[in-house]
Amino acid sequence: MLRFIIKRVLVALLTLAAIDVITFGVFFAVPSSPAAVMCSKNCDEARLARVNAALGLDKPKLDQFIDFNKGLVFGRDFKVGDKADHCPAPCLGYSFRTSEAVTKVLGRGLPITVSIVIGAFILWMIVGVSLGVYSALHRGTFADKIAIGLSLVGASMPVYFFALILLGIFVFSLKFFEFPHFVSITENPLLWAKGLILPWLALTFVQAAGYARYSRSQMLETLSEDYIRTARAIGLPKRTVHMKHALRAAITPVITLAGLDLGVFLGGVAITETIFGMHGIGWQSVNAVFDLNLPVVMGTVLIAAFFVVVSNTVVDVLYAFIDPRVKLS
Amino acid sequence: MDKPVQPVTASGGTGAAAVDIVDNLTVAPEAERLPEAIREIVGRSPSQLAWMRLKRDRTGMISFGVLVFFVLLALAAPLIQWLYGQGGPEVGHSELLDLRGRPLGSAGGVSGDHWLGLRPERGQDVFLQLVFGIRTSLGIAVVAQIVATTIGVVIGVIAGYARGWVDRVLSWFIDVMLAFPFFLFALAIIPTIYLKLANASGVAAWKKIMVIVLIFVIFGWLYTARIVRGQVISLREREYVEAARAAGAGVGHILFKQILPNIWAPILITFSLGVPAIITAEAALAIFGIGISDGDGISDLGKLVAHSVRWMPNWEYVPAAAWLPGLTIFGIVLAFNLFGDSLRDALDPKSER
Amino acid sequence: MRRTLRIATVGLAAIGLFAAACSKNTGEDPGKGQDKKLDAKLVYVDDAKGPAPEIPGAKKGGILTALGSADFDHFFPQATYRGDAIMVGGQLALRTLTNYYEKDGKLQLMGDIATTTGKQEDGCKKWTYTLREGIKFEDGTPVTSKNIAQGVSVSFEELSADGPQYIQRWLKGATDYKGPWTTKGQLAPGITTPDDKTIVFELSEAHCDFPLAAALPTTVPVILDKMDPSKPDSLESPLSTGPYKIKSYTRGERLEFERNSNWDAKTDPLRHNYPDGFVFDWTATDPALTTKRIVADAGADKTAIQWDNVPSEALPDVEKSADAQKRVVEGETVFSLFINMNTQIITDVDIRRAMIYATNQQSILQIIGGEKAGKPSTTLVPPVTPGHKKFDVYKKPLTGDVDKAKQLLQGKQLKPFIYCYRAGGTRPQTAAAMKEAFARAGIELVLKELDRTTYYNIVGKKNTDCALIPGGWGQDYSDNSTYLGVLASPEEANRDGSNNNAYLDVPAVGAKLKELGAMPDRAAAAPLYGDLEEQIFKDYAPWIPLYYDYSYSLIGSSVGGVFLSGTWGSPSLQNAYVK
Repeated sequence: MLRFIIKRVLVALLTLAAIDVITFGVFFAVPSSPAAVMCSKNCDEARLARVNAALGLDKPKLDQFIDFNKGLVFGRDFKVGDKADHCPAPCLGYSFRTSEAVTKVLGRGLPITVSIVIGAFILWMIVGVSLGVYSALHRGTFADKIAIGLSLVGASMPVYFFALILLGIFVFSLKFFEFPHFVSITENPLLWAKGLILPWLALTFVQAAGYARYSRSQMLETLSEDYIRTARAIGLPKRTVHMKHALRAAITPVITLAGLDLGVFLGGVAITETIFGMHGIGWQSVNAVFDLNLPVVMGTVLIAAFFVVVSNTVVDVLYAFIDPRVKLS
Repeated sequence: MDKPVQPVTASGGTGAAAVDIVDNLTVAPEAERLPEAIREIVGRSPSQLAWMRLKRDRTGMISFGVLVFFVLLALAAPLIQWLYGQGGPEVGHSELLDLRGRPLGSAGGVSGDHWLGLRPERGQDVFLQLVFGIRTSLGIAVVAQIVATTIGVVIGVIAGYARGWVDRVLSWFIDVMLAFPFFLFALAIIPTIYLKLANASGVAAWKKIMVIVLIFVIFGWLYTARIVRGQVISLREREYVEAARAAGAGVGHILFKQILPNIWAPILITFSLGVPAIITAEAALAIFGIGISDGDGISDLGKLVAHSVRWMPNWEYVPAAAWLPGLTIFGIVLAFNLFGDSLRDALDPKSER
Repeated sequence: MRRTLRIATVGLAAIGLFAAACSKNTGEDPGKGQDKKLDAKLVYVDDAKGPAPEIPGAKKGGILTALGSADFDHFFPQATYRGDAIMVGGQLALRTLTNYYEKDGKLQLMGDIATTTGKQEDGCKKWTYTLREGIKFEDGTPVTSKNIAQGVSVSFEELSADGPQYIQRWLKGATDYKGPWTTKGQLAPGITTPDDKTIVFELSEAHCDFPLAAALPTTVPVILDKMDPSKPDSLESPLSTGPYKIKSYTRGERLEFERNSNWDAKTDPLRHNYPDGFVFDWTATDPALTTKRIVADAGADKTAIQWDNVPSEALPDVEKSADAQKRVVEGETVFSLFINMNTQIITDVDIRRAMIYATNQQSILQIIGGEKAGKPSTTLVPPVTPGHKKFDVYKKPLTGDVDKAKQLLQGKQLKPFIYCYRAGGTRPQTAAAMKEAFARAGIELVLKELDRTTYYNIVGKKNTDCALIPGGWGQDYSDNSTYLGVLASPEEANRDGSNNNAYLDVPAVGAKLKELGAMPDRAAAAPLYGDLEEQIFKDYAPWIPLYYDYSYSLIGSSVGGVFLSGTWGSPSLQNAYVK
């Protein structure tokens, strides 16, 4: 077991390294220069060169790559003007536009994204899976049909469409809710939740629909398995059969997918954040793209990829605990 | 994008669900070689059975009809424009707007000339915009998905069949690519590629489209590859494959006669799930201004949706322009989802829906 | 059977709510807004004394929040050129030698740190200012004439290259001066400070508009010892001399001001300190959303000021709310929008004339939102700039005159022209509209989209490939030498980073501009600028007039004293208070 875990972690590290190289390659092959961004209107060649030198951008790409990765592990000093700004490890780069380390910028956005995603995740899992399982157990009933219909709508609807409808109806027309405003959970838990209701609802509707469909199909498949038939045939009560045996088998792949989804979402839910004016890392990265603030974009890509790799690894390891076949393969 | 394309199977797994589908298709292929009359008694081949099940499924057939309708609409666009007689889709009928850019008349400028009214600000005909927008978006999505699926099948088959380190390296590479946040990446990379492609006159519209297709291909092949790989792995352990190998069949024969014919099911399903995902993703990118720009003179459903989003809060001024683009995408995605469901049901007799 | 029902369930949900907009749009003006005009006449007031006149109804307390989408590029005064940045700095924290006071739609220039607008001698070549008593920096240090000299000197540094360059160009003997840090502490030549309260400027040429240039942040006093060019942060938090000082500044996100206890109202004829502080929130990146929030006027938004204009898709939100219409802040501004025709590429003046005729101004206005965003123009210089002459050389209907254009183009060989524009906003749509309008007359445009970083580098050079370059300009101060004087200047055309994007390089025009710029009587010079502009249009037709800018935004119900400053194009905080 331990060997499996170690192997998996090593692969994860290798993956992260590859992502590091690819990201660096892609973003630093970019012609858009950060120095030009700092220069705005009256930028001549000489000035551009000076700014480039100050930011270390005139060094060969390989050196820049090494510097970047050293900074990732040990932290790094950036020379802005003649000043040295220390960027603590893990240093994801320096945002020239706002004169601060990328980690500092993203540190402001991460709590917001995490709040949105974790909250919505809990909601959509509870709603989606229970709906799906219930649907499967009561197949063919009216309730089932409604559920299928709703989840089909939700799964086909783009998130921004639904988010705008929510805003239009509940905030601007009916004035049920105030416009979402983020309050840190440490400041005021109640306001924190209140401000996040709409983003949670928007994400939950779309995601729960998908999970309802998936749970339902998994549950149905499991229910038609031979061993379930056997269990019922030998007289086990329906409830036991369903909850103890079928559910556990059906849920496992759903949980697997959920874990991976979580990793992806933690990387930023740009559209939801933008529509609701929440300045999480998704919003920050989109804005960074428009500001041509490439270090921040790069930092976000790396963080998002990190979350995905970690969740992948965790899910694989957990799966190994649950399903003995995996260990042996 | 917020809603990631959900693969049919989970990562790294053995493609459990898909395997089950194919499991049931491997009725002895020899049945196909028996004379017609005896076949009637022996039973139908798996494909025929699937096709029969599909035909019986009314929802599936209706959604298929809807899809065919959209495709025909897209193909016939230039003809429709000629018959409609209002000029091209991007023509701005500014004389039919008031000074604030809102269409004159009722319901956003609906009239005999402009069946669905006009778009605000520049006054393009909504009907034509939808028709040509569907053409562009569907075209991009289908082309991208075809290329992505092809590449995915090739890589998936290689990975699944070759096993060993080839498989491990390819799978690992797929994992690496899958870890990248697609939306962010596209958002950041596409404008930069445009910059690189720009010459004195800017970037030609067709080049922009090629870049978009490329990005979708680069990320699209991953899912197909993974599923195909899972399929191939399970298939190569089948008795008839082993038998073929024992009989001395070469790799080519095994691949083309035994394996490929049996993986078309998941391929088809991935294809039908991939196209709507691309359309939605393209619209999401357009909302952030990435992709085809207003200045390019090409209608695009994604761009249309992005504009409609701005006017939805005050849709009464331009009801069609505000609602139809989003509903159209919803409709296309829904049709693909319903059809994909029906396809899955038809191909997998075990799950009685 | 189950499937069919499933479709029905889905179908019902999928039918769009098509309650048709039954009301008919006949194109009448939905809002009965009155256009606020800006009085072009500038009044010099030389006996102003602090404190500034009390604003009736104003009371102390509260914090006002401005919601905007674009942070100031700099907050370093000598490098600031953006209208709203100069205004905010000047009204809250950064006093200059002279400054403006807007009262009842009229603009007054008076001494700010100085007691008067300046005493001139030697035919406007020598300017003397006496500083008021009791002005201190936020740390309690008294402001002396030396600090002002240091401020002006810093404006020569490379760091300030983005800021206004007038005084730097005018000072006697300063052509080679590069700034106090580059020259190891030496201050700018041409400035003398006989004592702590007196400062004298000597110019190489006569400039009777010096008091106007002195209102620009070039003359913001600094303490050189406290500034460290190797620490950019120290530059971004200049020491305040006004009623507020910077509390915190997170670039691109938030700028906060709090009270400055070392400001004495008795020394200041221009400013008040009613609110406890100001916040600039730059994360409000969607102006339509901001409009909706302020229309809804809930909670914290009651003390909000919309910094960007109401975009066209959000105008209906204001039209639908009688309450919001009472909280509109609007007016003409100093900006005019036009399209430069690169005279170096489009060398045939008849083609340029044809382009003016072919342009469909109506379609451009429709894109930006109509008369609440701009008024159709027939000149380059807007009404608020002194010397604006209301001429119409190329008379045409708002949708253009395609026949006249075709007439002018008869027999000519046309090649495609490159139209360069920046991505984002309404610009791509404007480009598409221009292309369509020109196509009617047989002119082919190739649209080239550029991104923010490379845009100025590409269009700002005389040898650019761009034939048509959209442009906009507003006076730097109330004198046409900062408008026509820049946009038609041969000197400017030959400079990297030129603002004369029509690249009009006519020596005769340059000479006439110099002549007008040297006239001591600015009031007499003004109408002559108008005549010159009309002549340029007739002879050279270098610009396609589009519209004069109009500003339209909202404030919350608890915001008092805020009006639209046409001079700066933003809501003025001069009399702001919280109700």
